Amino acid sequence: MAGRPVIEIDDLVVEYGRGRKVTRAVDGISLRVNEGECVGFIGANGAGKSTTIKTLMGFIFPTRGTVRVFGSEAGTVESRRRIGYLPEVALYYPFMKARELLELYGGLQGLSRSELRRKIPMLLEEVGLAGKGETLLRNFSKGMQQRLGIAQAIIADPEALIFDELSSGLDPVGKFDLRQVLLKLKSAGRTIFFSSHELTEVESLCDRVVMIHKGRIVTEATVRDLMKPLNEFGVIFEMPNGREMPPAVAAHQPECDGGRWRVTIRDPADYAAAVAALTAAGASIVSTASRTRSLEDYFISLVRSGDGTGGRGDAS
Amino acid sequence: MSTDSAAIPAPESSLRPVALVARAVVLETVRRREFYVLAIFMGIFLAGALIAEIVGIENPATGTFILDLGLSLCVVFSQLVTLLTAARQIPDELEARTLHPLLAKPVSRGQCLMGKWLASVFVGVFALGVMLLMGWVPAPKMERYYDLTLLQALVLQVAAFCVIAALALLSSLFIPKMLNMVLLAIIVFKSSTIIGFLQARAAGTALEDVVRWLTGYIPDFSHFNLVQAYTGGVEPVGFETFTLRLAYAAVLSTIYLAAAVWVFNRRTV
Repeated sequence: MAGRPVIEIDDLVVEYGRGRKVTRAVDGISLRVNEGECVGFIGANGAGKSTTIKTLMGFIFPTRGTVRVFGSEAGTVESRRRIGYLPEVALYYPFMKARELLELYGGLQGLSRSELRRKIPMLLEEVGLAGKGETLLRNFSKGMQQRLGIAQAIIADPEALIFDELSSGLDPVGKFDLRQVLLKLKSAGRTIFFSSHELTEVESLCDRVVMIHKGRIVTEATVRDLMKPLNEFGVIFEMPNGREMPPAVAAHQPECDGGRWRVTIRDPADYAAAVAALTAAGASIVSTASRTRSLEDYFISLVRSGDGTGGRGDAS
Repeated sequence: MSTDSAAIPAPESSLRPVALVARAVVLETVRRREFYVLAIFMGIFLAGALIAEIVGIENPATGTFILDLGLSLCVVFSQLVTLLTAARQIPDELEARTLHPLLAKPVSRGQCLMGKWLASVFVGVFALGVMLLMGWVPAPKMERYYDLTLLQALVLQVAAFCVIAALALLSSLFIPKMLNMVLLAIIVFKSSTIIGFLQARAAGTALEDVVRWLTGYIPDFSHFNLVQAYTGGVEPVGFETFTLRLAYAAVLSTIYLAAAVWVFNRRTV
């Protein structure tokens, strides 16, 4: 997707501490998120996800590099006017009622009182908090606070959403509801950038995935490209005498083992095309086998490997 | 949610975010029921004053003592309310992690601080008003007092709240909450003693000018206290003196607030 850039990070370095106790949380990352994209930002605890997101929001200042949001320097009022943000730990004023909190945040985003009166009940219903508008937030559970966090993030229909740990604190029903909200926002063309530990969520929602490890981006690819090398489809077949190997199969460098051929294909579409070509060529398919690693498997191997590439290299 | 159009709200007046932040602080103060504690204190005083009225006071000096005590309590408690409200704002928000959702909205850190400052002053004024009803109205007035002196005393108290709130917000960015509250309480109630002590120690030394310059930034809250002047039957201060004291408060509040905004804008949250 090549829309206007919404998030532009160039050579970002963020360090904490001073002198000998300096810790480099983010180590020279560069990344773009374009208009209408849904990008998942994944990494282990301490990888630098939250630091990057806090820099995007202007809570933390870069040690080096530039961070721009909608063309404005991160953290400026102008850059925040078009963003909805959900913090990693969603905690809100315990002395307020849910309605009052949304009135505060909606008001800060420029919504009029009449707009707020109209929107708040709908929004509460959408995030599963119907009828809770007059409840004090000190009586809200963690999951309810997270739902309210989503409501405050989308109250002004922002063009871009930045969520730090998307479904933290939500139960399975909450996660499902959140996914529906995000799918709706995505289909409405909103730009979404979120960090998450829920890799199934990333797989199902994102156009693109950025993996960060020890402060550096180790993988940046579309979900399709990323998943390609994680799949393995094996075919064992026998070719009729005198027939040429179909190009759709030959491209994957089949190996001859006695009278039988063995080929390993990674892309599901290529696999389907190869099987169709073999059938058309009159080949006898002896067996097929598939092994699909999930993004989670890949993520785990990435985190456990010393070099942060999971022994696979960069998919981008 | 209407996702049919990405509505970008028009840039707001810079006052609305300030008012919204201030409203939240006032709401918190009301819901935390801190006024109730003060009301109980004042209720005890009120009961004492009423008993004195019923029993009857023959000595005017005793009546003036009760009036002086009532007004002094009003001033002390309302200054404390202002100080406690302002000093806990940023530390509490950081501790409760409520600052991030707030600062993620299109509100500048300066507007955020201004809202909190305004609310702290408002809370002080409200507390003063409520406590005056209980501390001044029922107290016996048996000697000659100047109403204009009382009015000046009240206006100068509001000026003192402005300075206290600004200073408390600034120092809360550096000093842990409880320590900040204690130090500020010492400054608010003993500033003239501290300033006099420091200047006396430095007098005649090479540091005299430096100390005089530095102590100029410590607010002398005795300039804002006309309660004893009122109960002592002293005439109102002249217009020039009164205006100068207000200007003193305005300058100090502006310096402290500007410094607080400068520091807060550069601080990681």
